[in-house]
Amino acid sequence: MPTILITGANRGLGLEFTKQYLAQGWRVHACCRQPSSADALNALGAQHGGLLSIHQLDVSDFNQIDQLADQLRDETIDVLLNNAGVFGPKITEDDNRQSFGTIDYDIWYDVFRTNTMAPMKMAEAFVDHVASSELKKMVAITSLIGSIADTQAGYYAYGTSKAGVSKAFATLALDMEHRGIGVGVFCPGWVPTEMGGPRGDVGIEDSIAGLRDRIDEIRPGRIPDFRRYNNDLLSW
Amino acid sequence: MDMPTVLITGANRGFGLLMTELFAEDGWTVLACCRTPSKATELQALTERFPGGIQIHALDVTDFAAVDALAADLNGTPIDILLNNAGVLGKRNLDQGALEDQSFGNSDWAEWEQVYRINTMAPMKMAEAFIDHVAASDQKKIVTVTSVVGSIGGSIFGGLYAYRASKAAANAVMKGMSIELAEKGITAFPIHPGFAKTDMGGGRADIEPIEGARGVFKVVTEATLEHAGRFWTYEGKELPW
Repeated sequence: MPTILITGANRGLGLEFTKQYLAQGWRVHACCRQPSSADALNALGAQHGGLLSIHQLDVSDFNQIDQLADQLRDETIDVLLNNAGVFGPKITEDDNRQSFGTIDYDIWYDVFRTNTMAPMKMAEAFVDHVASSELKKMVAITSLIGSIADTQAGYYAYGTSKAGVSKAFATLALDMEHRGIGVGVFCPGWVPTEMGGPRGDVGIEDSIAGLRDRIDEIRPGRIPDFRRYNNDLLSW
Repeated sequence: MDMPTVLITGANRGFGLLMTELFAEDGWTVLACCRTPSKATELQALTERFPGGIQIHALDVTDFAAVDALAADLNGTPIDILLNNAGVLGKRNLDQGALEDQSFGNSDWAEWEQVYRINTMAPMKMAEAFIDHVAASDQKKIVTVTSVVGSIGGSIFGGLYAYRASKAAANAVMKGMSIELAEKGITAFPIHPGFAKTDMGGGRADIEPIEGARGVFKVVTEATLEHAGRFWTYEGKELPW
């Protein structure tokens, strides 16, 4: 069975990805910042025994990424799933640090590092693990808010970081063709998670089931389309 | 009637210097910004050709306190066009090794940060700092020079990751602000200046810089609110995001 590495696997979309891939019998390397407090993830480990390996990883710490890649150097990774991301402060009456005129540039940089640079760093660190696997795929989970065509004003730090990673991964698709690696860029829909808030337009199980289908469809050799979990085509 | 005013960043050389010359020739007042005016000999020579038409201001666009200070110094001066031109390809320009520096597997994260601060964050900071100056002008335009290589749907080559990501994000910045600034009658958009034989583009480039500069001058001076939030070329054609 294939192997997947998932970042941000302790909660939200990453946890659901981990659950569903384990249920399919995949081997899962689940990464999160603090495994000791990742109760739901640890519970999955007890349930699925040998299939799940939990790794401590803060994706904004690039030395940690290199260390994990080295630690896993004898493993093949079929799907490198860049799921970890940060939203930055929500815009409220009292908080406008992502709004025009009051941008907090330190926060913007942190969001950029985690959402844009880290997936690129992961791709560089794990390219050999992926190239030596059967399925050979790299994925970035972005967001409709990262669509330039469909953007609304506001959430500048988050939106620009997602547009940036879309561009980096479209470019990556072109560079990875000669190694037979396919690249995907997907929007999970608006899912009620800690990041998404209480409302949403799709349940987490349907979102992740759809994204697994999208990941199945990735092929090398072309820049990816930007698709939602349900296969709707989005505009860059 | 007073002649209009344009503020241009990175005005000491290359594309910014050409834009300064074109605006000055057309009778505009040019607020020409560059990091080290004392070394900007070509820009100084231009001020002698257009006495009173060009004011030089020291500005490093990554120094956001300096951006705020310049905005305060120019308090009360309407700025018809804010032209965010200052930008970098990376540590090195195209002919000097940028393709190697920014190829897959070689990312230098300090370079990514620097490129992002100059190409993506600084245009936003400039717009935030000078919004009142632009809003008080007649033409009310904010334009950022980005690049076709930042087009996501138009991706055709690999490499140059830091530069490409910074320009895609800068396009996102301009699209986002265009929506909320349209309410104030401000026209905001990014523009591709052509792949020109400047220091940045080097010998592989396919047009003369003056061709790109003349095109950008025409597009930005003729632009109306209908141009807002779209990605233009120096030829006035629209590019995909």
